[in-house]
Amino acid sequence: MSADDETLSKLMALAQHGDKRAYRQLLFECETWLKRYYARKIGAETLDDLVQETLMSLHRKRATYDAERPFLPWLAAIARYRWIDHLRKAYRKKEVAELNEEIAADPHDPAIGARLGVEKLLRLIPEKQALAIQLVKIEGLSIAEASAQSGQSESAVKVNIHRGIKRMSAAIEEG
Amino acid sequence: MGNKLDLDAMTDGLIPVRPLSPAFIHVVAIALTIGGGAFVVATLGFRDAFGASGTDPEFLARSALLIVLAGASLYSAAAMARPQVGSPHKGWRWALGAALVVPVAALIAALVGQTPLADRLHMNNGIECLAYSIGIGLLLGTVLTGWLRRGAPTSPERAGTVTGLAAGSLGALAYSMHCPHNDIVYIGLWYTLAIATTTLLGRLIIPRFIRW
Repeated sequence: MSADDETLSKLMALAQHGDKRAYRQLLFECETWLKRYYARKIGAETLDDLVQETLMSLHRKRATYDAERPFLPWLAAIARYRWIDHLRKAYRKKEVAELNEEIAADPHDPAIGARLGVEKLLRLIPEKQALAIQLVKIEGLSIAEASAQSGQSESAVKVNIHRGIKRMSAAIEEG
Repeated sequence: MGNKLDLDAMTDGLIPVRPLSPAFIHVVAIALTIGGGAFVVATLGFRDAFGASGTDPEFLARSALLIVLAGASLYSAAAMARPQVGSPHKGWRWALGAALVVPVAALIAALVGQTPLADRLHMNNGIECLAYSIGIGLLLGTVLTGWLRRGAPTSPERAGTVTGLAAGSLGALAYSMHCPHNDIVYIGLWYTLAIATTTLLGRLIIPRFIRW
């Protein structure tokens, strides 16, 4: 059972004051939450790296959390930022196609639901851009394979990926 | 990355932090603007010295518009340091939309007005307006960029744009304490140019300093 937003918020507030026990528990909860958050949106081999990068960002930017506000929307904004950064850097790897289904988000978990999830970002951009990103950056197809599967020309796939990532980047804090 | 992140080591390295408070940067930016206005008045004099009253309706309306634009963009820029899904920070767009009425009105006035355009532009004052507004704006933009670097803006391009807009609006507000002109064509050209310049500089320069 993962902690609720109120508990996480309290733990973070304590961590900002230097409470190491609260921080250790918070990091554990966030690690679990992030693995489920990124599931199906990143290859199994790179999932741990992305979770680590996000936890390090949480650590470096912990002063930006306002204890008066909910915790998970703050964490989700950092997670989306790191995910898009990862998509920008990602190059084709065989393992990218092997999405981690075992830790896929619980559909009943409202915290990782439609409002905060990265799926929301993909829904905010035009369908063709989302499809190109899904096929190449998430499922790991080559540009040629994505072109054949989507019916878009190769140059259109490239342009749609570029534009889609740019649009998602501008919409990270859209709820 | 490869190596497993050691949560225990991360915990051991924890030191207390003071949460970022936008109120702090609001106060700093307002103080710098007042300081900039004082500098303008000290070096160029207050607009009254030209016989232009500090209570002119045009002056008051211009100041109010600049305050709204600067306030909305400063609020948004400061808020962008603290990420939060569900906080798209769009208030500055409404203020900018309202402020764009000025250059549009200036263009119409310039096209239909009887006075020759050259007599309405006051080039020397216009250059002075640009120099002071942009100069003070650059100082403010630098301070605001330092603030954003401490934060975690998720859209560096937008944060840079809004920061440039805030800095330019505050710079123009400071200079307007001296500005002797009320002509809409003059205001629409030079003030717009000054604010547009800092906004463009913000968009082009600031993102590279605030990525994280």
